[in-house]
Amino acid sequence: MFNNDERYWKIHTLNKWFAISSILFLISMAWTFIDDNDDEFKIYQREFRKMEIEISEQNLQEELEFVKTDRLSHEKDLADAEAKLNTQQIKLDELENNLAGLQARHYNENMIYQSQKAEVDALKYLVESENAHQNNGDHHGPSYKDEHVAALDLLQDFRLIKEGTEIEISENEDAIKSMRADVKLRLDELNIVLKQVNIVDNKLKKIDRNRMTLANQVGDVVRDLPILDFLDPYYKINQVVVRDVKYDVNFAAVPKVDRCTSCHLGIDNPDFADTPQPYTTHPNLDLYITSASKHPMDNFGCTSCHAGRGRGTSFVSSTHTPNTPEDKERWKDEYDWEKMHHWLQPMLPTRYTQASCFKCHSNTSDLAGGEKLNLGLSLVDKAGCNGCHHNANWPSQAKAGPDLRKINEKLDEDWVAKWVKNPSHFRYNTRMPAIFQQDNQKSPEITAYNNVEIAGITEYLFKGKEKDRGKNSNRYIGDTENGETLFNSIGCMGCHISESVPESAPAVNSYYNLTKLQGPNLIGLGSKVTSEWLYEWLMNPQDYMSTTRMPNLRLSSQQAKDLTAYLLEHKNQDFENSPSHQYDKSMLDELIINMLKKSNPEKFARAKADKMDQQEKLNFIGEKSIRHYGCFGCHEIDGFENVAKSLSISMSAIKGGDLGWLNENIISNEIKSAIINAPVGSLSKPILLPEGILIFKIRDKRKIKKNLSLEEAKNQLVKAEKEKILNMHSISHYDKARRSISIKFFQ
Amino acid sequence: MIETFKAVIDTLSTPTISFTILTVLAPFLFPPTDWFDKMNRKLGIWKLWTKAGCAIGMAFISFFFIIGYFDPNFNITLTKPDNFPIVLLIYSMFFYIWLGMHKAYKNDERLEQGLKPNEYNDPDDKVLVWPDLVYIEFIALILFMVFLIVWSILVAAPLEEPANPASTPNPSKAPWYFLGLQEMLVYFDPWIAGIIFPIFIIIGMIAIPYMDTNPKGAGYYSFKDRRVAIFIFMYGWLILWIFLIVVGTFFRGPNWNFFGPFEYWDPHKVVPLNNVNLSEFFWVKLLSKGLPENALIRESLGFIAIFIYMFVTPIILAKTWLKDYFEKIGPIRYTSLMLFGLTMLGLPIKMYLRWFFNLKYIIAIPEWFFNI
Repeated sequence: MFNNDERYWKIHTLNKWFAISSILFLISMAWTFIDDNDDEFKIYQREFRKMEIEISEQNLQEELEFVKTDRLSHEKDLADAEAKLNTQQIKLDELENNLAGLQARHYNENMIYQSQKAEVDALKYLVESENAHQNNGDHHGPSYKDEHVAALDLLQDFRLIKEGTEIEISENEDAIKSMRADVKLRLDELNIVLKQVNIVDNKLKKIDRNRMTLANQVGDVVRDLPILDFLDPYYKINQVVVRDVKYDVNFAAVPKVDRCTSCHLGIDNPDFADTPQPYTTHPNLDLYITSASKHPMDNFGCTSCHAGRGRGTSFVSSTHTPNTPEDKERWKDEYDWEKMHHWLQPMLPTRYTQASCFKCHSNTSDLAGGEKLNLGLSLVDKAGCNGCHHNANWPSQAKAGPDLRKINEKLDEDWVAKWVKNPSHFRYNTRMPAIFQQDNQKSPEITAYNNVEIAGITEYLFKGKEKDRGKNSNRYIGDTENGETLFNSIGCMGCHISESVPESAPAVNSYYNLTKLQGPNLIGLGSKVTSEWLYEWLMNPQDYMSTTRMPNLRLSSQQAKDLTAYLLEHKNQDFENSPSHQYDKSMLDELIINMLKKSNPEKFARAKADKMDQQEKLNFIGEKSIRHYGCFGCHEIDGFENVAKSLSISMSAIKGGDLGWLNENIISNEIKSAIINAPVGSLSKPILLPEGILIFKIRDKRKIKKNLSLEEAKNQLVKAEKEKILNMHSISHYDKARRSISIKFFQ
Repeated sequence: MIETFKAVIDTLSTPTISFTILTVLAPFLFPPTDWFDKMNRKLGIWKLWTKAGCAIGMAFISFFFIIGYFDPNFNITLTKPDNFPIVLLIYSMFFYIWLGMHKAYKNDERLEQGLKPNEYNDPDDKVLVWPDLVYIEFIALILFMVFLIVWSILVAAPLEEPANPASTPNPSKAPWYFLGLQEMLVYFDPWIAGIIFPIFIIIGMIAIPYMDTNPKGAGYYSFKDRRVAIFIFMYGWLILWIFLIVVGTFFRGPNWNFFGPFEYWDPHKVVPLNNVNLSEFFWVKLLSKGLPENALIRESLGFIAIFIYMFVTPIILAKTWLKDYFEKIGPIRYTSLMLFGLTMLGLPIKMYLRWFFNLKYIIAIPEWFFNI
């Protein structure tokens, strides 16, 4: 066609490149198919198939063992019945031949009958149309009625013949059946015995290629070929769609789809309890997974308890999380494991699985099967986490630490200061956290600050309370030995320990151990409380702390004295001998100024600080420190907040009556003068208002500088004046209206 | 030694330094005037367009990427699936510009000898559609399909978690074709960088054939015959667009702070951004008064500056340096050329004003969303 020199490119080169590119394309297409179809889960499914065959064969052997004896007797019976039948074989053959003949005859007779029936129907039509058009006078030719009747008679004859043959056939069949009846009975009995065996055998036939027929073997291969595997593949994704449990994707909530069982194939099969992951059975099938359990898999899926990416079909993409660092290394080696960063709820490592129980079982810390969770929730309660960290799902029931409102009746300031500074110095396993003397508080500056704070806290706790510790007299001391016996027997040890050796104290790592630590470790009491206090406490704990969990043990006076004697024996010399708490007075001033500087210009802060005396300063620091360190999270402390919380009807009650900073102009007139004139820090007298009684305390006052232009200032003044005048007018108008309203009675 | 190399690259890639180097280098690479041409020949820069030059250029790019692959910080950016096209971009950009300039230089040599350019000797009238056009297209198509298929099998699509309105990624980068504009946003108000500039770029490119009346260089590669036009275009394309994309991809990290390619992307890095408007410079710092109430009075200096730049400069240029040019192409073309050209030049000018004077806006009227 074309001369080669008319072309721009050499055709041979082009052909060569076409060939190369086509081959490359073919290879890449083949690679695409392979890449699409070599899923990871198929590896596990193939392995599982092998295991299933193995286990099923074992089961088969077991079943065969089980039915061995029964089977023999039934097989013998069956053989006998068959033998018997064999002797009658000639008769049986005759009957069957007969039957074949009868059936052939019946076929023909039926054909004759049916064709006659068609004729009859045709004639019927003619007769009926005759009857219908009788009055028309259109009828030509002879009547069909006679023909019709004759045909009917013939039909009846054919029918009788046919039915006769049918009866014969039926009799013949019955005869055959009765001859075979015995064999059939024996066979049925045998099958009942072999039922389980057959079930396992059928299963094996379906999964073991060696047991399949050739046709099935071919089908077994074809069903998993690429593209054709849309029909009914053997190796496929298994999934549970849980419509009611949703995964939040920020702009929608999609039902969870759990494909875990694509690899975790033995999860609901108790036979696989000894196999390695991922084939192994789920623990506790009575409680999970099975449809008879409380958490059937079809309703719950897998990820509602274990979290993770249910839609993933490979080890890494399902966001499995390793449980230990060793696991992590092993997974990185074996599975190229890496964390999938973009899945917001990765699988819970196995040590945290019980965390999911709380999603639904969120009202108890005593869930059967959730021991770890129970321990966790109990620890939260015990340690008082919720005192500071509010948790709507697990609110705190009570303050975790003792009530400090009557602290003056129990302790002295010296002891309290030392305790606050270092609680574990007194009691090594106290739950009170060490707030001071931490590693990042070791610098001399911070230490000095902290000492001031401790002194302030102590001062605040004892503010306004008279020292009333009770006497340490022998009047309250009884027999020590009897005290010890009582301590060990009447129930004290149900909640308390008295253990001065730290290694022997129960560790806080189990539910059971927590029960032994309901109350404090009763060591060092001799260096803490007076005998009078302890005696009164033992006789009636609620007197000192109304919310205590310690019950009234209904002790007799002597018993209480004996116990007092025993308990006070134990002293903590170390603690007693440690020096009293000291603080640096100049640090106190510095701290006060630093705190006041936060809400006042420095000049004002210094002025205020100068006006305070020593005690006022300590109280100020104390209140600020208690607020700062959060002591009230665990302890009831006397202060404004609690009274407000419990008694106020105002909206601010929740916050302990805190109104924050108020602008002068928005305070209503009745209380304005009272508020403006009240000194800072004092408690006001009750003021009677229409809404109720108001008691307030001014925490602080400040001036804010605002750049008011002359215009704005003028406007403000004008506005204020206008308001005043309007108010006056409205009041007088109201009065006038009230007086001028006349009410007439009609009768 | 590698560490020093990396430290040097980190310092060199700060926008101030790298942009300046490239701006200074551009006229030497694509010499628009005789003086630059002389320098180009003397320094042997033209040798970049030889086959050896191509090999060296590709080798240098590969060397940089290989060093970068083994650096833990650059590796993260380099191996992001989204950034693979940028790597391809750098290679293909270099190759195609090299190819064009190579052919252009070959032709320029021939033209200097008085010969006709290479394209003159090609069979001029017809080339058969089949097989010469369609067959090679077909082969190219198949090869490209193979490339795409292999790429898609080897690299999974970079899907992330469902969009969470409470958690924005940091940095939040535009797709690569908009990264140039996102980089411009550092220096310009969004109205200018996001709307005016793209519109001018598009309309400007449409207008090029109407503004350019040079009859030479049509139908054959040549640098010499069209050097001013090529220089202007290469500057705008390579430096003001491609380079900004590269900066946006590799050198911008969390909070859109600058990070050298081998630097760790520290999200807590704080850089003071004390930028001052021209009006603040004038009224507050120079005259020590407060800012005037009236927006127009306040920004009057800015208006004057813009006016001089956009209106007075072209008139002066038309009467002096560009006199011949103005007479050749006429006032309409000249005006369009000045409009687009001065706007384009405004980008590097504003960048330098920002870098050296911390200038925020020349005109700042936030009340009307009008900031330049």
